[in-house]
Amino acid sequence: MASRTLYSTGLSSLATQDVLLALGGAGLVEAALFALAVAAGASSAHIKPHEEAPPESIPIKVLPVLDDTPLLKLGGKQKAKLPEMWKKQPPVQRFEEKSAPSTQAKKTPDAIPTSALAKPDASPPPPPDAEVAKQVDQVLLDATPDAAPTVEGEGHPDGVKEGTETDPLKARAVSQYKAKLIAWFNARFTPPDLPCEELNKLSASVRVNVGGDRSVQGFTVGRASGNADFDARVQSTMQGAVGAELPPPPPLFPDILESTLSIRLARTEKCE
Amino acid sequence: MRMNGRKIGLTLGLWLAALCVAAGAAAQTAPAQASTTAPPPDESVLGELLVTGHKTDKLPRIAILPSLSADLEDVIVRSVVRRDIELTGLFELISDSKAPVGLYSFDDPVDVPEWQKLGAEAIVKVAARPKGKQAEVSGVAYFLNVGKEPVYQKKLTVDKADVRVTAHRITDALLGALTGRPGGFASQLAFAARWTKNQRVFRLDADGQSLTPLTDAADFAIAPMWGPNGSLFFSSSHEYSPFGLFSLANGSIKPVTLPFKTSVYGVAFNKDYSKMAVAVAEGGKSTIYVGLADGTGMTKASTTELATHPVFSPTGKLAWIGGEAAHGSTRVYVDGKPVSPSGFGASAPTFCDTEDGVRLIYSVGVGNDQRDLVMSDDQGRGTSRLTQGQGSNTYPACSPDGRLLAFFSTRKEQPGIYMMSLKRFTTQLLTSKIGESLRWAALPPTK
Repeated sequence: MASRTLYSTGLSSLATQDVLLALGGAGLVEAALFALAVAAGASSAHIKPHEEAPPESIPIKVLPVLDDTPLLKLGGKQKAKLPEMWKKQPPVQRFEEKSAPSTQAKKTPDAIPTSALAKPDASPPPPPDAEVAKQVDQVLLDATPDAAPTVEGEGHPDGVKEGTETDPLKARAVSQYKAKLIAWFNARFTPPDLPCEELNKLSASVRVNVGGDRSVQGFTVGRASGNADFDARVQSTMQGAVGAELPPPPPLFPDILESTLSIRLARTEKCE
Repeated sequence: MRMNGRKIGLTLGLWLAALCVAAGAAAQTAPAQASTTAPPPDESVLGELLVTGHKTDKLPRIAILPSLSADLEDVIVRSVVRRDIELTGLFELISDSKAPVGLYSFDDPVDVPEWQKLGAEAIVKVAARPKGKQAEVSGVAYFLNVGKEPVYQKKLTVDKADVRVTAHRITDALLGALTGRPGGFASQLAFAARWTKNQRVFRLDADGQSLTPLTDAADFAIAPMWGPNGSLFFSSSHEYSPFGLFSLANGSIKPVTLPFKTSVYGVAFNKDYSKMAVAVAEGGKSTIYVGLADGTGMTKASTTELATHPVFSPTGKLAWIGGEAAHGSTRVYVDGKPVSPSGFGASAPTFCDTEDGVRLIYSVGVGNDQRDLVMSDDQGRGTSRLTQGQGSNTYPACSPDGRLLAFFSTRKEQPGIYMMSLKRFTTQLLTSKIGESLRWAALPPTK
């Protein structure tokens, strides 16, 4: 009750101008707040909804450089042919400048030759267009433009006597493929249970026919061991391999595998 | 009816035994010729092979020369090449700690006698030398039986940002020099994986780096497949619409025009990208059509009521997962013939052009919601398990050189993409991402 009295007393004490001024001020504050809100919404300060970043493509730029020629290339089955411009040309025959008596010589002091007088011998005179030099120390050899080049040797100094391949990359690929084929046959061959000393003396040679699809087409026993058990095991091993597919040669050297394979079946372990 | 593990194992064993008996019978009846005619002297490249029955498989020992360079590019290249070569399982790598004392700058000579004492057959030297904004990446191979001069070297000058992928290219070239078969590390993987409510297609480098989503998060994408020149094909559905075939090339996704209005569940290309196979929904079933790579000339190729997951072999054979609508079991079909054992739900076949020939690898259900990977030749003969008792293993994908197999696995309570050496059968975790439809293809060659 008391507060209502005070309120009504205070309100009545305000002039109309003061009330209008207060209302105007309040309106200005509200307008300013609204303007601030609008400004904040238009600025970059507002919180954006999280969007997942699109996947970035990663361009790959590669500047190719031609491979250097393999550095080790000694030996080879084909002899290298040098460019024509590198071929050794026959040397030019030059003749030492010499004088000889002539009936056509002028009889003046200027016509006296300064070069030495040629010795009279049976050698033929030089051709009229021959090249002449004051002094010739040249010992002429036979021209050998087609001689075999010496830039390529017979093989690699670190090679083996039995080796035939002069490309080390191919030689290694052949070696590894050979090991793979041996493992393939080893997985199929188990020597018979014979005394070790006797078994180590036995071996059989077989020639295997390989089809175009790398399958074993058939086989021929070139030399049997002479032991019935061992030869029976060789026969069963090879019979089991017929129709099976040999491992493929390395793609960089697909011609390694030929239509026939020579294998020798033997036991080579030491006896205890 | 649910089969328990023991019964499954017994059935699989019987099936394998039957295969062995059949193979043996075939060998017995093969038209072999045996005679004792003396053969002509051997003059072939391979010479005479000595077969002793001794079953050993010795790995060649090689070394990767240490590097004293502090350049970041050099460190990256060397670590990438070393890890790649380790992953192949082809070599026994000599530890850096055993390296002979000496100088190991790029231009220093190789101490051949000391490395030979360690049993090294070959030595690999790699380096990356910064040249302004670019780097010169080199790889050199030495065969110690040949001498101290390198037998092979490759050099590439690239932007520094491309050093990692260039290191993979150097590895591939060095493997070609060491084995005659180039490597497959300059390659990329693609797979589909969950992304909130949808599924997206991701790509990944062959060493597990650079995982990147490729498809829109608002779409449901499945069955990615690498196409020509590094392009990617996949099926995608937006807001439950039928799955359509799309291609992603040079950063833009475009629909592929096909003569089908129903969903396309998968796509495959043959080796030279001249043929395309698609799995299409038809009357509540699915059919595989084969046509030209541009989607024209499509003709029906599958012979089963249900046919999905088409894939071509390197020799052009078409495989798919086939089944009958009335039965739940699915089998792998190659050129119309089932090649996987019946009774085991097979899925996700892939072909690997391995060092031992073309192999077919797929996953089979082995009970308890577990799946394992099995491998056979491309006619289903000689089946062997690649995984066993190590979680569920699915979606095999082969590296371009056929030496590695990637797959999803839940093993060791550490699910992710694993990589297996098909030479040593050792496995390593590549990344912890799990998904489906894993695919692996070579990067486009550098221009």
